[in-house]
Amino acid sequence: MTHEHRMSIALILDAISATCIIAGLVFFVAGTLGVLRFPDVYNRLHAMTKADSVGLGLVVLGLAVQSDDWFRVVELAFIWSLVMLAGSTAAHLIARTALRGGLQPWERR
Amino acid sequence: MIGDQITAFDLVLAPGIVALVAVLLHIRDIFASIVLFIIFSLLMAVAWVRLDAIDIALAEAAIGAGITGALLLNALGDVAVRGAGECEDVAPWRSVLAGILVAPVVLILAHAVASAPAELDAMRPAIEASMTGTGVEHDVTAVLMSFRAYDTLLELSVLFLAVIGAWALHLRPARRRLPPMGVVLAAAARALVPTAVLIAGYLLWRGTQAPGGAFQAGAVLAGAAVLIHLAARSEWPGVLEPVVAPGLSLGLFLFGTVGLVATIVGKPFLFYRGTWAEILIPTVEIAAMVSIALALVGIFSGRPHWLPEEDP
Repeated sequence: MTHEHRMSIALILDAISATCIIAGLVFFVAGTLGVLRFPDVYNRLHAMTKADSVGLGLVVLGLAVQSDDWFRVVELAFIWSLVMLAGSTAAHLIARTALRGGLQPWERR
Repeated sequence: MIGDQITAFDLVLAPGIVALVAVLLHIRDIFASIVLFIIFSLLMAVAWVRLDAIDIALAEAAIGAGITGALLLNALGDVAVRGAGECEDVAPWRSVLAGILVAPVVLILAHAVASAPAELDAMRPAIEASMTGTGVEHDVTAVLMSFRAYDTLLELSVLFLAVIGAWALHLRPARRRLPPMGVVLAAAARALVPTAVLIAGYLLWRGTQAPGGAFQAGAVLAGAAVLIHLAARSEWPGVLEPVVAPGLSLGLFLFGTVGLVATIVGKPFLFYRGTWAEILIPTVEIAAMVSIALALVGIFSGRPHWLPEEDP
């Protein structure tokens, strides 16, 4: 592989990871907006959990592309799966508690 | 700091933490302030990472954000049962008194920061020279288990006394019935508990060469136990009953014994170096991890039912 080849591959990898990370950040911003603006706890949970899972997934993907060590990639994927598991479970528990506490889901009037 | 560079991220993080604390101290709703406290601990963990203090970051995340958050929410459950969800007004003289008491601590910390040597790298050779014979390769572990073993022994004692204190205050073991948490939490716990046990073992094993150690591992184990407690609604201590009392005292007992044996062979208390240290430090750390985990769960889950009950 020539020097130019290596340079262009590095450039492509940079572009891929930048795209993924920026897309991930968009999800985080959207999730934050949802938490601030949505009308009830169920909507806000939906926005936040989705942003956490997909946003972090995209950031992890963007970072994994940059890594030259497979162990790091596995570590990143592991962290992502733990956050997804914990986040979704927590969202479910909050929603469940809210519903059992008698909090009615919001409906458009 | 990593590469001694202050980045834009740090310039957002540091004022962010200060602002968060300001809100945390002024908010009236206790539940909200607990949630903010957990966020504060997480951000502090990030700040420790930025300061290149990974050991403290791990401890802050596991103990500060994790276990302490669970303990505070648990305590709030008790308070809420008695119908107090909001802070009462604090008399102004109390705020002034608190300020006067805190000021010396701030001054001492400021002095420590100001008088710290600017070139930490210059101290490297001295640190590395004193590492030989400690039996570990990671300098923070050497500080905790060898140079300042006293501190760690005293921390273990404090935790031990804290459990006894908490159990003495919990007059009845089963104070209130939490609602069953359902199948989702149970399924998540089935996946998370073995993972947490694995991570705890990894943190402990790593501790001699890299960031990690008994406190972080113990807190992760305690988190797993709290999860079991919440998901399975099992009786505490349940199957752990025979090991609670010996396990709680194991760390303190073993560490203290090692310290005393040192004095018998004519060394200072808690002085152990050389080949023995390579075996003793991991052994003491395993024992400490078990004790720390049991102590943290013990505080969370309350007084075991086999202790004599007293009427309030």
